[in-house]
Amino acid sequence: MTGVKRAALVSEVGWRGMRELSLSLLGGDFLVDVIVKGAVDKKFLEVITTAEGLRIRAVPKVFFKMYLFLYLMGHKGIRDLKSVYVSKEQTRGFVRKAGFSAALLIETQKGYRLV
Amino acid sequence: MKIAIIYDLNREDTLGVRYQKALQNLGAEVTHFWLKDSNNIRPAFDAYLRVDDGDYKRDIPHDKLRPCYFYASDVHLKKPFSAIRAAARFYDHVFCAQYNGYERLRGVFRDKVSWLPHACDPAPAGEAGAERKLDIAFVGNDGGSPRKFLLQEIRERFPNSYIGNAPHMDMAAIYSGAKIGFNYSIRDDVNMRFFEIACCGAMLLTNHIKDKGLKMLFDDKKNFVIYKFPKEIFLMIEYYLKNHAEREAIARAGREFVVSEHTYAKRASVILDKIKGRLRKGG
Repeated sequence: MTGVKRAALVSEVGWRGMRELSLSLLGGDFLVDVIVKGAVDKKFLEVITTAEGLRIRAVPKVFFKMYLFLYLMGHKGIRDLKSVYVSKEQTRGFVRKAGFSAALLIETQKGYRLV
Repeated sequence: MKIAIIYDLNREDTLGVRYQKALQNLGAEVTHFWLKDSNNIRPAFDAYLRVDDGDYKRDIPHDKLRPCYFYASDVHLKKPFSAIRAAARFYDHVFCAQYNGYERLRGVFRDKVSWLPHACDPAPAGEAGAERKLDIAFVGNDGGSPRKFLLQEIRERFPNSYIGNAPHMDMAAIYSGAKIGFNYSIRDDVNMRFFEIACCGAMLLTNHIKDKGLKMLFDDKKNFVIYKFPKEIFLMIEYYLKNHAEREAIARAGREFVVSEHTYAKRASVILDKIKGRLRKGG
């Protein structure tokens, strides 16, 4: 146990909701890993404002499930992952099978809601 | 002149509605039909105009409805282009919204194809003198990657903005109340947003696109502004928000240009001329 609180945000559809959630979690002293499904050109990732404790990683679709699985297993060992948020129900099932509970983020017109 | 216009009215702001109104305003007697009902259209019209509505699985009965015309807007998309190319041979004339798509079709169908870009409707957008309280406006959904990242970044860096969907009736008021209208064409097309923003008197800021039509239509830094790299967006927004006179001059030139040259009325008159020309020849 490291004492660090970490949250993983798995963004497959949309962006606004996950982005806003990531910023609010940072305010709550979490380290936040945002995992974006699909490769994103560096020039676009560079424009996203970063903050201390926030890490954004875009993973090509073909490696996405493998990456997510290895990520979850890695943090299961360290036991620092306190929250997982997903944007697709199917991925919530995947995360649960890996031994974590996950909240589903649904984007709304003015932000998001968690289910 | 009696024209049957055929499109699916799935949205109030669909292209077909704009062409229907524009043709009516030019004096044509226009009757709307849904694509699914096109088999029941009686051959009692002078012309049959199908307007692209995204349905490429069905088509009108070309053998029965002559002469027939097709306004194809999605020629910049791979699958729709294939469907439009396959259907084009059955039409008497095809109008293409994007230049590159037009060029490709012209290679096959020669004079049966012409370029007719998107346009604006100055009537609802005639609020150019409105006070511009918003910094940036973008009406539409966030879309996929990378547009969603850019739009969210604009939201965060320029909170005095409107970025999101809106009822189509509100769109003109939103752009008319903004200093800068933002655009990111996903598929290198000169989309409707180019004309909608310019028409409302906001300065159009858009990405560089590959469609040759862009250079034929607009002049960079004269009646709109292009950003070539994502990082430039924010520098340019800051620059043009500070430099009011320069921004307003570009916006004014953009509005004057589209209102004088690129209205649905002008586009509809091109279609009407084509129909009349064929009727005169006895087609």
